[in-house]
Amino acid sequence: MIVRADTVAATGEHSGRSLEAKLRAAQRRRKLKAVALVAPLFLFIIVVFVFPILSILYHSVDDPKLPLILPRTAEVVAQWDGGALPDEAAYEALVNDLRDAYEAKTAAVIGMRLNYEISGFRSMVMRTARRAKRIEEPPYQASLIGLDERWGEIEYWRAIKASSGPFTTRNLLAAVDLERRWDGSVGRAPPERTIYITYLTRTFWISLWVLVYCIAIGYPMAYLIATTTSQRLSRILLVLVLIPFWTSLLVRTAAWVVLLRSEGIINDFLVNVGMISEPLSLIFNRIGVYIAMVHILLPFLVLPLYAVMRNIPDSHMRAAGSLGARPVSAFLSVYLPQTLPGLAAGSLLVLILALGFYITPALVGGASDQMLGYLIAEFATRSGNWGMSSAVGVLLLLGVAVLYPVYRALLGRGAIRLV
Amino acid sequence: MSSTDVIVRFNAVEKTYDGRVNVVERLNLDIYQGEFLTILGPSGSGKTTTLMMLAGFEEPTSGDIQMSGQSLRNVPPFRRNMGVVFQNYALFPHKTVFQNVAFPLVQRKISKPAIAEQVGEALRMVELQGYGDRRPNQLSGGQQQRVALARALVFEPNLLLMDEPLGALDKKLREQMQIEIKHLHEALGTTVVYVTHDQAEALTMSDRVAVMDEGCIQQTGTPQEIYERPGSSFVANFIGENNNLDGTVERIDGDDCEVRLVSGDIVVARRVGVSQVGDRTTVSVRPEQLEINPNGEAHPNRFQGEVVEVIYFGDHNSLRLAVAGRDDIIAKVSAIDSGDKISPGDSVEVGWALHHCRALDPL
Amino acid sequence: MTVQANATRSQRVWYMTLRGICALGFVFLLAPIVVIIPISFNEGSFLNYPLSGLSWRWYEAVLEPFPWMFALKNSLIVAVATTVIATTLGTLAAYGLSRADFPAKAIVFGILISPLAVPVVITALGIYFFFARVGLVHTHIGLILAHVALAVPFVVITVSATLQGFDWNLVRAAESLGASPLGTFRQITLPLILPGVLTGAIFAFVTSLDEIVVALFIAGPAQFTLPRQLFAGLRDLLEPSIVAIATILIVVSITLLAVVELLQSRRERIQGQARP
Repeated sequence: MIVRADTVAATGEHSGRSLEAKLRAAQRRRKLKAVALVAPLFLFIIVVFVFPILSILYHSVDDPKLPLILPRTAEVVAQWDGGALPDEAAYEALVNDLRDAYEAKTAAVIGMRLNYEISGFRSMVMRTARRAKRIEEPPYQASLIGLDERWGEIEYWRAIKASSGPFTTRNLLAAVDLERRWDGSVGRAPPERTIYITYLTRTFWISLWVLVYCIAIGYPMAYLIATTTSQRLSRILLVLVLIPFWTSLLVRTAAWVVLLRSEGIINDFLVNVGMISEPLSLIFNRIGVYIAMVHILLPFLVLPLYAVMRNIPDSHMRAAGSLGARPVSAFLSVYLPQTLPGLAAGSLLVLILALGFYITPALVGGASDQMLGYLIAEFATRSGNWGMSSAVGVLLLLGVAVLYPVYRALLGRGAIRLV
Repeated sequence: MSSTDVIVRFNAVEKTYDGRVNVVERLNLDIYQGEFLTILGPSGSGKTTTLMMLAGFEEPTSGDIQMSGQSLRNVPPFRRNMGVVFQNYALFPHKTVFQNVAFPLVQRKISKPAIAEQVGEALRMVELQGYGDRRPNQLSGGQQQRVALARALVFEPNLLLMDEPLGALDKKLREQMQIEIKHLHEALGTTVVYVTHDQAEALTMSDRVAVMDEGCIQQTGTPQEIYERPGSSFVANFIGENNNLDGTVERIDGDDCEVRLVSGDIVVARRVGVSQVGDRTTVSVRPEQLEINPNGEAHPNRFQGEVVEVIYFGDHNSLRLAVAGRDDIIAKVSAIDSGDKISPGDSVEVGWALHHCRALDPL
Repeated sequence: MTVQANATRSQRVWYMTLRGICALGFVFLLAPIVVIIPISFNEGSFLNYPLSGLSWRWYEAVLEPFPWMFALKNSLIVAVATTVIATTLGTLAAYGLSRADFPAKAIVFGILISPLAVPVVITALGIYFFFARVGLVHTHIGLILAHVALAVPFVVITVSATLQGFDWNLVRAAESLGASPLGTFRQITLPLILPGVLTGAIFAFVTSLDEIVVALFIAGPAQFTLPRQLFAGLRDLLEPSIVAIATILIVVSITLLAVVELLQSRRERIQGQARP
């Protein structure tokens, strides 16, 4: 008793539009609703986060100051080949530009910029700018050199040319202790500037050791919390890990500052108990940095590790035992491999966080314990050197980015799971 | 089945998810006021999709669904006034049983005293009076099922839609609920559209059954019609047990025909799925229609066969026979009738009537 | 981890060492936090034991309008604004992502939580450059916007996780029973995802309250938050009021942690066994 197709009354739809088109229209409406919900946040993140991060890349190579403040000079110097001292036209341009700059009060800015090229350039520029309006007619070259004989030295003109922008590789090269020479070759920067690789290696070194300590202490802790038979104890221990996790980084660092000082609680206790006669130096050095950083980052390792360990059934180790494996080898071949995803996730988290640390080493470390983040902050907020802070920022970003493929390679694709 | 008013009509309804494969194909179906209609089919047959389109949770890609003459296109689910019972009950976990059942009445802005009365009545109807203050996670599966029913019926909907509601229950509970649902239907007279893959359920509960396969309705009819007069091999095999005999049509005689089986034997059957001489066919005959060692009856279909296997079912025996060129023919013999015990290896005569035998589309 | 009766001697030694390391680990984690709390009640101004007496004087010092109450006011303004904005944007986005399937879904999700993958100092640098150009440095609004960017990934993650376990049939059931889409969201969806939303909100609040790096870059003296002020205090003069502030912040953290734990267990109870 099948109702036959020819009894159907034609209503509404006529089969003119294809099935796919109708389907797509319905799907499009649903997608639009979902997009409308996600769009506000998406746009917000793009504007307030993604765009600024990308702008760091831009600022690492951006060099707008000279063409802006000394436009005529920039133009003339662009034609100059740098082989011998430039001619009168350049000096004329420079005098005019410096006079304008002095009036516009931008001379200090360009002085600062040029100082990055050659030390002492800033005071030279300031002095010349102040007197520039007195030089009203040729010979400009002689007058300038009369003001300061360094204007007759070719390095200074080459420095000007190197700063004419609009883009420069200066910052990026400097961030890895290199500089571009006059002949175009790239070589090691002068010793007073080759601090960056040191900072980079130090940052990685400290981060890796922090990770090692975190694993050494954290793995057993996670294991204990995950395998404790008493549910209550497990919860309590977990809360004990969560408390420091929820306490702000600054508060914890502050606590360590209070504890580790030479007149601090720890030293006081040790002296009173008679274990030592002189207070230990626990702060403003590497030890303090390690102690504080491990303290802050330990929960980041324990929590993901615990989450994975929790799901490993007890029966696995028992099965291994019943099959003849001794505890150590059972652990190594059955338990440990299954904890690797959690270990990998926690380690990645700890490393990424550690590499970016700067507050804690700034508060509990000494001069030789500062990390890349410190340089970034100093350049940006203290010396206003956006170019260098961006370049070091790029360096840090690359350092962090390199972690992902390394992890993938070491632990295989499935090892990294976010959250 | 009471009146013959059509309450829901599916008009050439089609549904596709990817634009290429049709989950539901040109579906035409009339649902009558007050009837208990079951849409029966295997998984993937499109039966749940059909129900979802009726409820308004899916949109037909083409075609139209009408209720009482009005098209349901662009009518959102919350205006269709249909009660839906989901497979996993979908009880609101953060509300009590009372609040769950009261929910549709709250949406319709019914007064508090009236709500209390109607909810009380609904809970009494499903025998859960006094459970109002409990939460869903404090109830057993069967109780949750009944709350879902009460909630779907409390606002006296035009239609009650049920999507495999008894799937998660154990056998005894399921059979009990089947009876209760049937009683509710008889008491309230609500039109019920019931979706299931369980053909026994369909046969026992329904006024009519629509059998679906691969997006198409294969046959619609009363349980008797579906079972005793299947229109296709799919229906014959999906419902109940069935014997298949392959062959070719040799002679046509009005509504009957002669089929030469692969084994060479001739079988006479009702002509259902074939039209001319030479057509291939699969002949269907139900196990209980086969008579073993019939005496007296002169069946036009009579063959000699051998018992391969005997399976004991308590109230009947199921015999597997080697006959007419096949060794998988099943016959049912009631316990009372097996006066002489039949054992494997026995040679028996198998016979059946013409009107019990149908020549259907070839498998 | 209990030692069985048939454990060998080396196994016992192993267990003891393990237990020892764990004990040390827990002491290490908690000692600094616990030890400085009593010091905040010290009568004298030495940040040391033994306490010369108990007094509230450092807390009274904290109650002075400058610098601490002012910093507290800033912290609260910024944290509350951040929480409201981040929770709203994040919840809507998580809801939108869970409802539809578009191919770029995973990429969009990744972008929404990308602030978590980048060291804060980099984020702070970029935001500093951008805000300097548009005049948002040394403003409350700037700080709020920056904090929202840092906090919103937590909201997105918690609400998304909650929605993953959400039974969408409940929405269909509600609609079949006559509730409009908005009514359904209000009566069914929102109450059920509320614990997740609140947890996300608390994460957002704590993130903003504790945030120091971005504040170091873009907050001027008029916007100094508690952490910013605390940092200045740690750098310059180490005073016991520092310890009082630290104690207050510790108490706040623990309270919020307790609230989150409560929300989690409430959610587990409700969604517990409501399914067959």
